[in-house]
Amino acid sequence: MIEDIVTLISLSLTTMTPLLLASTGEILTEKSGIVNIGLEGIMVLGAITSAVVSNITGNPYVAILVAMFIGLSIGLVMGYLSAYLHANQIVIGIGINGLAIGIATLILYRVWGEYGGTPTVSKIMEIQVWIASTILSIKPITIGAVIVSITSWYILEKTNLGLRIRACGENPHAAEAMGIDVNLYRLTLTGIGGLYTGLAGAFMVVNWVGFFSREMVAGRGFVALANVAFSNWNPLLAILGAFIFGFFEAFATFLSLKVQQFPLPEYLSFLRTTGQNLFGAFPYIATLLTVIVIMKKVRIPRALGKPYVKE
Amino acid sequence: MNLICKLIEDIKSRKRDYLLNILEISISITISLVITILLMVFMRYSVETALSAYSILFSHGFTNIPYLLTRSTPLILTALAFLLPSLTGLFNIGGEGQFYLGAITSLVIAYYTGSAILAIITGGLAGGFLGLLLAILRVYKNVNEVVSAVMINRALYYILIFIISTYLADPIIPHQSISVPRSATLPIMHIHGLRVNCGFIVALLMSMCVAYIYYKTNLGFALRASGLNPKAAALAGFNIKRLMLISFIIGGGMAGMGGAVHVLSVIHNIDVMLIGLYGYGFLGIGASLLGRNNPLGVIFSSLFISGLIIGGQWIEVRLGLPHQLADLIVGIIIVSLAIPFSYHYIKLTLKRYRR
Repeated sequence: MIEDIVTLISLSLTTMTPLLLASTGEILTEKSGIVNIGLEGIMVLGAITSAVVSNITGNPYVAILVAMFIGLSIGLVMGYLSAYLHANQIVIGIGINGLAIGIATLILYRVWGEYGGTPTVSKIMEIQVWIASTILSIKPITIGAVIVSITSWYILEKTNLGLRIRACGENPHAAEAMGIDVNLYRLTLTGIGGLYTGLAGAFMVVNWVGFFSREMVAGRGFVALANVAFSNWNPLLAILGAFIFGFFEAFATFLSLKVQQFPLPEYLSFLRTTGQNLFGAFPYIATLLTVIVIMKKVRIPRALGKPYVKE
Repeated sequence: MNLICKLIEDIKSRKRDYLLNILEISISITISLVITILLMVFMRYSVETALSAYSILFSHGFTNIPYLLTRSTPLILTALAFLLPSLTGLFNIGGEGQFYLGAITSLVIAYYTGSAILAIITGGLAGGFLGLLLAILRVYKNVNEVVSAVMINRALYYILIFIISTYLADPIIPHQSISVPRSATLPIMHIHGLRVNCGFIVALLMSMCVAYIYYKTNLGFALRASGLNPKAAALAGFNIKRLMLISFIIGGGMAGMGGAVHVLSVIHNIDVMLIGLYGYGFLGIGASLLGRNNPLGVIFSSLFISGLIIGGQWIEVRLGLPHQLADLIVGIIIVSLAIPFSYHYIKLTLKRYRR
């Protein structure tokens, strides 16, 4: 029993990490008034670059840095297009998601001659704690993600800089009157959001599964978006939200393994074969239901998604 | 005849707008092709490979007209699924899920009743129901329609795989579903020696119907007005919530119908990994944006994009490059189309240059 709980927590901590990083980044971006739907695509690109770099250099730490740089640059492109060129932010996000898969496949084919996934690459170490004859493994990036989101909360809510950022998202005209360069803030924060999301993608490759496959991101970018709304744009609550959503995923994986071991009554035996797909659907349904229940009470930044036009 | 004259007059009076749109579209396509080549060169593909990929893409993609028409049929309908809600100011990313649901519903109905028309209608209804669900969540629960649509898409993907492999599996070939009976498959027509699938006619009719509803009726006016300026529309007495629901029902219905037509006319059965259905929702979004959110423009953009996709398959056969190259091109086209302000900027610079 205790073993099961430890396994589940350990798995949840792992699955929450990319969600937490991406949603913290997205909270910063959205607080400044830009909505970035392209998280999914940035994660894919972060993951594939970290896989390539880790494979070539053999050094996963360099891989993380490069993936963060890629995330930053896509975030900056996105930020430039939406802040300075007044592009439709949702549409750009959709475009980024689409082209990411195309680029990832081209790279996969170029480097390994494969379409589906990469061979295993070198990973970074894990912290392992023994609890009652089971290992609770904690990934260093998980701790990093929690620190990042606490810092982001502090900056957003307690500092002058945070006030300026929030002003850009609430009332850009007033912010401009305060002497803030609204578009520069938006550009920078979209870049930073991209940086975190790139790290989230790298985490999945170099600290978790150890290889890249095209289906690995699996909608996490959108779960992170759901988490942003769930947490009411508060990075501290985002930790809780990421844990809950991560837990749904971990629970589905856990159950799908458990049904293989335990004796099942005849009418449930389909769960071992074709019913495994139902466990795949579970996290998304649970996420959607959670968002539906919680969504009434949130307060969206007022200028979110609207380009700032100077008068 | 009178109608056509009117249409031509209409086009003449808006010549400037249309020309500007065409300019934007061609700039975006060019930008996309250039960026894709740069990316390929950056990945150390040789320039010759990239150029020969393009020549195959455009020479083979658009030559087999019947195949092109067949391929573009579901795309036209999923493009409409994105387009109609976006005219009312909402984003229907759920085209993929609505397409799946429409396909499987029509397969079941066609299997049990053997009637194609009934199958298409129920497929459309199923898609419309899913669209309605998204709209209800958006309107009454304030859930972002993009997030809920992606969650539903992904959940439906797994649930439908489960349903197909458990309840609808073909007893002889277990990795695919039961097939549409012969009486319910859509026939192929010969028009002036050109083989045209009936599904394409359905898609054409649908886009014309929608264009009529949106541009010639009161309901269409209300739908478009609430997209252009929700506040003004609310002041004018339109019930915006109801209009949002309606636009999502019609949009979802289009995607569902697309799935139905695709199953009844092309694939006839669904494999257990949904490979035959995968990706039309996303491409539909691209086609809608490339068609400049015009129900009739969508027909041409769908033809263009399906040409790219077919060309992509030829690239895979001839050069061994992944066909996702076409997805990449479409993705970059979408991004560069999203920047109307930059075209405005280019225009201003050009004007200054002329002086």
